[in-house]
Amino acid sequence: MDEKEIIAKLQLLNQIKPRQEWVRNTRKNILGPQDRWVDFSGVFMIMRQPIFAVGTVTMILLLVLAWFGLLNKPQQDSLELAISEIASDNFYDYNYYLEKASQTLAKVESVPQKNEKLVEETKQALKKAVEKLPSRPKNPQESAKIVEKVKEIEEKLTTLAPEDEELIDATKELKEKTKEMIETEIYRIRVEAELAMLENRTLTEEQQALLEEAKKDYNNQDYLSALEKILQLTNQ
Amino acid sequence: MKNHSPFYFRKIYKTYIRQIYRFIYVKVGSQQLAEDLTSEVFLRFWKNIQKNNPTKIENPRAFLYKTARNLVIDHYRTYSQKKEIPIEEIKEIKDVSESLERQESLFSDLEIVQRAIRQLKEEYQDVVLWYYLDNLSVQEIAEILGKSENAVRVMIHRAMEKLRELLKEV
Repeated sequence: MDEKEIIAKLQLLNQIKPRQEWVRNTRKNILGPQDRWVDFSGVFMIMRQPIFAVGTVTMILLLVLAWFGLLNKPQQDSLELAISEIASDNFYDYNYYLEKASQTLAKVESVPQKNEKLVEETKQALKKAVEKLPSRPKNPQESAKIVEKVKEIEEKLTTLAPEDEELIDATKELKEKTKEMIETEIYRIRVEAELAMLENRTLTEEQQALLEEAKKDYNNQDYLSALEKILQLTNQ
Repeated sequence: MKNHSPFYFRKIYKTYIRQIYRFIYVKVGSQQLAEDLTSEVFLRFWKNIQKNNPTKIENPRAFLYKTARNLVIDHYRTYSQKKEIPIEEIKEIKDVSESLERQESLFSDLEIVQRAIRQLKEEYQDVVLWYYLDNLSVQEIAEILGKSENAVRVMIHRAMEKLRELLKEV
């Protein structure tokens, strides 16, 4: 049984869930009378007072005008777009852009002629996803999710826009980056396992020096060099 | 800040109740006990944020897991000292040490995994569950256990080796 199979078996434990009724009751028992949601009624009551009414109406009017102003900006035809304009680039992670690329790619097929805007949106989302892919996934599950999503995008591209050079290139770049990330991850895991095993071995002075260098490489995230030194060390 | 505590608590409770319950349940194997200990974990968390400023708990997840872990250890310590193990449960404990192969026909995959995990030593159970199931980083695990990140990596590796041994005949 390899590590993947063990991890898959461990995932079965996700089926364990507490009883919903117990979850609610426990929260109530702990919080006691404080277990209630925010009561906004007081705020609304104040807003209904004549003295605050003019201010409230003006504020709502300003908000509506600002909102329409945003929505009427050129090339913004959806709420999602308006929001994405407001949010900074750093707000979304690679997941968002992978999902967005996948969704816009699916829309490409639904229009009869080539839709430049959708292609551009997909391309931009793919670019952003490449930029934001983590150099080191948090865990094997995260790696698996990324690979799955990239595969999904690639499949969609093959079916929906097989001749679009721009999208093919952007997807290729995403695939390359993902491959690089996974390879690094494999090296990292291998190095960690090797280092763990070497901790318990009696080493010569020369081997110990190589081990220290390998650790330095590992700390600098240069896993390939670390692995080379470990192999050199174990072959001595 | 005290007025904000219930909101903060609710947020943390909603986010982690399932994970903490699952963590405890896998270790103790009893719904009733898992519910009792999980309640105690969150009660301690609530008392802590009432006593201190919520922002003082830098990593609430680490706090919850650390408390859960200590409660399980305390429970077993008390349990073994008092020797109040009912006959039915003695049989159950004895079963655990039996070959997993024999249990294959009796238990589902889920139960087999749980039993294999319970056969690991306490720290191995923790690191496997935290790293592979609850997605805690090595750094977070090191913080909870008060060990170095390297030591945690070694533990994860050894725990998986042991788990592989326990599951290989299944």
